[in-house]
Amino acid sequence: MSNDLRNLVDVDRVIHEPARLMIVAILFAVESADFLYLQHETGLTKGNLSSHLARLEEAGYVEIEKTYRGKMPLTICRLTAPGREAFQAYRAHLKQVIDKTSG
Amino acid sequence: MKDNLDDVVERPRRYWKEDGLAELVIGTLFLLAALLFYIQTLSAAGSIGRALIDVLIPLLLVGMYLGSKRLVEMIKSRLTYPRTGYVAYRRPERKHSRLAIAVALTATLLITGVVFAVGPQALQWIPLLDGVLLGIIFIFIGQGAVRFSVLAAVSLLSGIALALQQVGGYLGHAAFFGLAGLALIVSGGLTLWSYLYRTRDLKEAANEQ
Repeated sequence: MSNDLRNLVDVDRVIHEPARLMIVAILFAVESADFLYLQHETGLTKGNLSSHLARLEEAGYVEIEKTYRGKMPLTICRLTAPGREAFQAYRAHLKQVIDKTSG
Repeated sequence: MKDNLDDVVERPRRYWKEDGLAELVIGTLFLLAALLFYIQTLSAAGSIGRALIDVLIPLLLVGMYLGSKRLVEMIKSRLTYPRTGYVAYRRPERKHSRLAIAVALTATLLITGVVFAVGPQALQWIPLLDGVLLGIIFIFIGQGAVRFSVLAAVSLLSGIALALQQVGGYLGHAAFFGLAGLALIVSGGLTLWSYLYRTRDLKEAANEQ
């Protein structure tokens, strides 16, 4: 495989999945967001969103805090520092690939 | 893909404005400021009433800046967050805060400088300066949203109209803030109504859980 093609496929697979990419992109813009906001913005089902958040948490990109606002349970999600760096690196890599293949 | 990703990153930043609450709160405070400016025009120069309002107006402006965000947050926690979720925003970078302060100071110095340089007749142009400055602020915070472009146009046109009618000084401020406040309340009210209508099912679903 040529180096260019290898670069194309050599992306962070944790972030590259479309649903997780949306989650990380949303969290990148803010300090934190709750589960309901992420569900509303991504359009994912609860189960699907939970699954992707678990994967991101496992990779160390997202931290999840279960807390309360008054009596209401709240699940707060935020990108970790490695998560922010990974997303920025992913964007830079994608931009590089697009620029190279734009002819 | 790149454009879509940028849009996904930008959407949470627009979420703060999605329910129109900030416009409603700021619009109400603008109307209050307009009332105080109007009362100023009725009070005699050198009177205790005028002196009192001279103190109240800056306090109100500072209070607007400090308190409006908290007031909006409080209303959002009851109205918006249970429907479409909660977002905590990142603190603006220091360079942005410094830029905002620099712009505010420059605007103040500019207005003061114009008044001193041109003389009392410059007071009739104060509404125009208000309109231009507020228009720029609306464009900046609107991030391309159509209704903020409309608010910017309303601000500018109000300023021009008042200046051409030679409505300056406190009365000019009162008229300008009154018009801007009304425009914000109408814009915020329509946005809130639209938001509540769009999310009526979400609130019911959240209540059922």
